[in-house]
Amino acid sequence: MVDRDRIRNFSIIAHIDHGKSTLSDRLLEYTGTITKRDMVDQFLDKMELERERGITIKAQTARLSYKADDGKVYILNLIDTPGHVDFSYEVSRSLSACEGAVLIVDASQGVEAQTLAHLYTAVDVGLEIFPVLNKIDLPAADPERIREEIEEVLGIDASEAVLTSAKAGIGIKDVLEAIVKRIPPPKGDPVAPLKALVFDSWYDAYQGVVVQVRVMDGAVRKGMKIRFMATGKEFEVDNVGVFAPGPKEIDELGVGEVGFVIAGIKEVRDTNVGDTITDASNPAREPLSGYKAAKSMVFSGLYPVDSSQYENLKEAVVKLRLNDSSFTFEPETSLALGFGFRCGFLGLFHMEIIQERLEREYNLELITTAPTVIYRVTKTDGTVLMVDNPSNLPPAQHIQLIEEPFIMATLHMPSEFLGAVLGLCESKRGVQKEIKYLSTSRVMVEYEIPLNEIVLDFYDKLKTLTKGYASMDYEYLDFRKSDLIKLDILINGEGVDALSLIVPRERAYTRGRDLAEKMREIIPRQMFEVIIQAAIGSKVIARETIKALRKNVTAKCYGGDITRKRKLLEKQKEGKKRMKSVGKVDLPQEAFLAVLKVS
Amino acid sequence: MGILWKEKIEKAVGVYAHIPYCVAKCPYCDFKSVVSRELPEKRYAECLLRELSSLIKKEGFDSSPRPLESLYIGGGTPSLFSPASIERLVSFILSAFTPLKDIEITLEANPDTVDLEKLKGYKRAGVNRLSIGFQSLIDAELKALGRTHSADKALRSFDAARSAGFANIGVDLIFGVPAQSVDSFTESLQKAVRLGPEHISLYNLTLEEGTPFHGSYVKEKNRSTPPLPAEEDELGMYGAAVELLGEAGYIHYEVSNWALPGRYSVHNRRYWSGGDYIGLGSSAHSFLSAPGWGRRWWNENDPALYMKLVDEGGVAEAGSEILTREEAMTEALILGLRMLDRGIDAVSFKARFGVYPKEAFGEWASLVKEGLIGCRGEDLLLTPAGVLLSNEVFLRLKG
Repeated sequence: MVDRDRIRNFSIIAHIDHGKSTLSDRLLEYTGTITKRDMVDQFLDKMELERERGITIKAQTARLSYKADDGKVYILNLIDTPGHVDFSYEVSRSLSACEGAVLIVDASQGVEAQTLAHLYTAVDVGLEIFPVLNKIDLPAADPERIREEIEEVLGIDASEAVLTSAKAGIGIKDVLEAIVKRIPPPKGDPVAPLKALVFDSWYDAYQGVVVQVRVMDGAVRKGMKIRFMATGKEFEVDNVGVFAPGPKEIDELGVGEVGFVIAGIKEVRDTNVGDTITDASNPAREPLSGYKAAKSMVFSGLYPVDSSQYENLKEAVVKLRLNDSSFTFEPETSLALGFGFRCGFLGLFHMEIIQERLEREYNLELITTAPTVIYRVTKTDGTVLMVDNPSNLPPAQHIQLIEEPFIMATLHMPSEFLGAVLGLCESKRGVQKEIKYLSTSRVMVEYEIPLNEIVLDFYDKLKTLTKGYASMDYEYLDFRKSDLIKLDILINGEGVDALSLIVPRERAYTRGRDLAEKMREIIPRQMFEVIIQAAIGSKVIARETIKALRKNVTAKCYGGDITRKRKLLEKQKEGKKRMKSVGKVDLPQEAFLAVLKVS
Repeated sequence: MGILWKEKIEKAVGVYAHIPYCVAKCPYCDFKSVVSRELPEKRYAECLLRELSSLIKKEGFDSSPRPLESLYIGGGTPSLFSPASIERLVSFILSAFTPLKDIEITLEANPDTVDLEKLKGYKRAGVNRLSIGFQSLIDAELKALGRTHSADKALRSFDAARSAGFANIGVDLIFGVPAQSVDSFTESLQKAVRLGPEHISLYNLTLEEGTPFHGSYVKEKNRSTPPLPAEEDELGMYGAAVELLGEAGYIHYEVSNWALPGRYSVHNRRYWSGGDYIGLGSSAHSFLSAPGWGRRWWNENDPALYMKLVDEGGVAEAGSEILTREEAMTEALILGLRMLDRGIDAVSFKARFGVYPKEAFGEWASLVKEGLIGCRGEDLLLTPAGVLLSNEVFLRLKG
């Protein structure tokens, strides 16, 4: 068993692009956990997709061995956290597995929305936090100003902030020393019944589910029968080990240690993040606090472009679900799109990731319907239903009230963009809660906003309005009553269920008009006239016509044109295959997401 | 008869020689052409001949010279070259093959660059067909197109060609020109028909990327330039042409081409029927039906670089492709249907691919029902309605 005084469990928290992944890489390199030669940049971002997007989706830990200036060898468990607001619950669980956190702040950009959000989470779970000012080698770096900003805005002592440039390898040893000196060793009772916090799990084709745990009390070892306290499921441990950073089996994980458990588990949903593992034959009385079941907040329909691919899609979502317990799906039938699935996601970003993986890893061509939130509908007979698909909204006369989820959005921006951001939030039905100058040039605002408004094009608008200088974070509040109605889209007189949406009543007309117009731009001309209508109930509120295509002919086709012409045709054919025929009309994917472009 | 025809196109070749120089660059043209005051006429012509010699050796044509059915000298503006240069080209190329008795030798001419003397010289050089780029016979439209000649000049160049003894002349017109109306277009066309050319090509103006027209009409949507005709008007122009030319006895034998009976362009039909051809000069394309389902290659675009490469190594190939069966079929589909009188010829299609067109293109029946294509036995043809939507037809037929 490892001496607890020689263990340090820590996370690195930062706003996106402030250098978390790079610093992690340098720590691994410096401690010899991984040699420079094997180093794939951003080692901890294991999935291909993560590497391309340059952010971490799934948390992974690594065990570092470091000989400190005091001559002793320490075990440093670096616990990686997901980098996106959609995964804030997972972040909180990862942080709960630590005693301390390294807070990275970009020495020129300063405090951003996620810096604050992560810091609050870290403070909430009681971590010891010390700041690191990164990118000090950049000409725009101003460590003194940022130090002040940290003290002023975050209220933490930054006088002993470590100065680094992870990219240039400056200050890496100082960070390691600070981890050893400033972060306390883990506590816990080695002889008490086992309590291990699950902070990540994933499906491995060979091993089944791999569970990442932090042992809080007792120990977990091979052959032990364990129980997941939230689900009540029991399994026998096949082996335990640590990531260094490749998997390495060991005899047991003792109190304060961080590592993995493999126990013949088939499905990730049996191993929910935040759950507590205990010894089935000598169970703990209480689980660790803070467990929450993952809840889908954003929904959309996924349909194969080619309906013969339905079985492949089904297989793919089942497999993905094995590895992602926060992704949900239910079979769904659309009159327009045929057989598909209504899928639930933690947020928009999570949705994009899943779609991309389905298309890339499973080679599927998908039509995605516009994302929507879940609505709580109380019918006149008093029954309550949760509606995650606008086409399932009961007729207006049967509805007593509709409630929609609200969030608290925290936005950070340079002060010159304040006006634009306030305007945006107001236009999104936001209610201002707070406005605060962090310094003379930076402002923070807090707004309560219906989630549905964020799900549409909020991020894109925010980015455009602030030239990318604003950052945002949010948390869920509750369901609130709103005056909402269903807007239907008809194509050549036929309602297209997959295009229906729920909108605030006072905006229905504008939305309907804009949407019909946008659809007219998006849908290519066909060999017959196409009429697009927006309707509320049986009342048509907007109408657009796409004139029939009457001329599509190439003028010249001689020796030098033939290859080009053939390739063009092949490309168009591919494009056509990606369209979905609804009635007789070919609709491109963008038509189903047109609503994202008009709000 | 069918077998003879097949023999002829399989063994015979056509030669295209590209002259990339122009007096001015037309704002709609996306062809790689060069405007230079000093024409490297002699050097360029020698390069064409040198390239041909290398290709003949490379492709093994020297052991048994292949029949030559057509020679087409296009551009750019080939009529910038002197009759002497053209004569040297023609005689050299002919001597490298076995020219068929009725070989077609075409030269493209710009009204501005020819007079009676020069045209007589071309005739003496062996050229027996002229293709004159009228583009329009309305001065305002010629100006909008950036052409340097007047309508009158165009008409006079035609008369001069007849006087020089050319019995086979084609003229080109463009529709969809800025500020053009159905009436003004019809006027151009009537004037052209009155001259009695053997062949008329009618091209719909296309805004090709990279051209000044694309810049002002697509990218900038510049309001100071005269507006393009509405789609409705373009349809009217095309309809008027079909009617007018039909009445005048011209056969609409390809989407953009009309000819008096027997006077279609032999050389261009070779492109459309999958025949072999050798392209000489910068940016020229070549096609030989073997290996695989056909090999196509194309030359370096830039004339100066072309000459440098030929000087150094005899050839100037910039890229090539060997067609797959599927690609060859797609081409046979596009090119076959574009030949409105022939369509996809079932006999040669079956001989080449082992299946009939109707077996290869499953959607044909529904397109027949919609009136876009028709059948003649096993052959598939575009209907008049199908011509205007031919790209949609190709898309649906391509499996």
